[in-house]
Amino acid sequence: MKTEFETKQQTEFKHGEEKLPGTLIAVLLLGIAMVVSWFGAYGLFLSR
Amino acid sequence: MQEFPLTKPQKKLSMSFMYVAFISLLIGGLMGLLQVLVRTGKFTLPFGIDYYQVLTVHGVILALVMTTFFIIGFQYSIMAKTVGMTDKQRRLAWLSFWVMLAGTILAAAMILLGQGSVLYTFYTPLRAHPIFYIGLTLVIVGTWIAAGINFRQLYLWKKEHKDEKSPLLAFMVTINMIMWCIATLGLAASVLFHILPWSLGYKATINVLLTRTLFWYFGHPLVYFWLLPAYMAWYAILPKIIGGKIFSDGLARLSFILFLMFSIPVGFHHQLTEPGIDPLWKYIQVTLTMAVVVPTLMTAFSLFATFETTGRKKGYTSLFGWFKKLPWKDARFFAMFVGMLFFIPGGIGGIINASHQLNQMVHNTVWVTGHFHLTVATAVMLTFFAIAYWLVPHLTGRTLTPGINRLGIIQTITWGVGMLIMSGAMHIAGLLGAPRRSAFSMYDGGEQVTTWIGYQIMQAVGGAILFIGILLMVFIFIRLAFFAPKGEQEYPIAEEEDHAPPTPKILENWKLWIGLTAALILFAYTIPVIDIIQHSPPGSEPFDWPVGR
Repeated sequence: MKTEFETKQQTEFKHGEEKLPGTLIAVLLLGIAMVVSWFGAYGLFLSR
Repeated sequence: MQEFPLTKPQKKLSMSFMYVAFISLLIGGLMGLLQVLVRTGKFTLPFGIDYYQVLTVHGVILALVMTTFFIIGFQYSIMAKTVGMTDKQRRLAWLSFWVMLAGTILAAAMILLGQGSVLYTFYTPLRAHPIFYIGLTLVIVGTWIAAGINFRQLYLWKKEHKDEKSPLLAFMVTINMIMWCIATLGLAASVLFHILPWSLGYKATINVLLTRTLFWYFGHPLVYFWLLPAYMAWYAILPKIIGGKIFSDGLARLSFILFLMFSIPVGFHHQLTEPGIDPLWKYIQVTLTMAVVVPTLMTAFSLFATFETTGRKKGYTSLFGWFKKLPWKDARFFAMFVGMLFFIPGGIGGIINASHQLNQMVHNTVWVTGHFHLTVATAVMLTFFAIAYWLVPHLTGRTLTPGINRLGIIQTITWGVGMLIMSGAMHIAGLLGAPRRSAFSMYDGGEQVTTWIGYQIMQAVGGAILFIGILLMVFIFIRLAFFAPKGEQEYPIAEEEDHAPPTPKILENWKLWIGLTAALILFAYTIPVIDIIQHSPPGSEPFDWPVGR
């Protein structure tokens, strides 16, 4: 059973120096989903 | 990081809680299946069983019993593993188990005898038999004993390890139990001083709004009592499973502190349509509710960052290459991840529910039922299943085999598909006005009602798939508890990065955080509760019909 990431190569890594572009995009998408859903529900509220 | 191997008696203790949790899951799940079948209009309960009796069993046994037993058992194992457990503490922990079990049996007996069909919220003026309330009180008392033991465990560890920060998981358990103790005080006040004397006939009438307010003072943190153990696994166990490290110890602690502070003074967002509460205080509590978004998004950020950091350390450099390489075939991870995924629409729905105007659109509709089946019945439940995949064999001295792991993956997919259909249909039907907490009815042929029927059938389809998921999970549990090969299953606790910056000491200033929590609660509740006591209409006599005793 595979329980860990497959390792391509170990890279040197220091805390505070991470570049996390994937995380930035993921949380931005999350924020957009929240805002769009809320305004969707608000639009429904206004239309009733 | 120092870890204490769990002794056999300690394992037996936690495992006892697991047995009750998974028996409850089976019973509660069967009740859920009966409910969705009744709501199709094509099925009638046999033997004159009442729909609301079934609904009460479902709510009480899953929302209160299954969750609480799982959480307390899991937390005992965490504390024993990270800060140690003395024999004296373990013996006392058994007392908490028996008190909780006795309470559960008393409450269950009353529901089964048709003397407590008041749903898990036990709103007055519906009245149950006094023993129903005594039973629930005993369950709470049992958890208080557990909380006392947990606090003592951490206290003794700190005495031995002066100037060291407490282990992250032990810190999280402590936060959860502090929150629980503060929250259950409201419930205790409601039951002991109002509902029980009224139910026994010593008091003729009851202040309905006050008891509902006290219930939701407890009811919202109850949601976080379910959720925080799942967050413990997301923050501090998942990184180990995927071969990574904790992204930020300080961030994890801060988010738990914020949950402690903002999960209690917010109960009014469950009562937005109720008259008798000043709109200003509803507004203030809605604002405080929105503050919970902050630690929730901190958690989301931290999880994405854990995935990405771990992947990049392993050499995956493309934008989302790290994502593809997560251990999708490991049920311990996969079930948790699917739970997280469902938490996204669940959390968004929560923001909609708590927004005053939007709440009017969904209040008391089956949308709300759909919402909490995404949060507690999927995000939390799938995480609990993911925990069970390693915790149960760890406790029984067995191993998670590739075969059972595969079943776990199938279980997760079954649950996800079933919930997508059931909860999706509930959300849509709710927007079309379908009420929650109600048996099938055509409401004398109302035109709107016909628009719900198709969705109610969809709910039955989804519910039936979910019940298959429950059977599968119970089968997995039995395999792991009694039949899996003997061996040593790892108790996965993640560590910090080697170069992690020190965690600020202020995060363990208990007096500060408990003090701020108390101040926020007093601010949010004092004036409106005085107002409710002084200006409520005459109290209500008990109602034993249409539901109740």
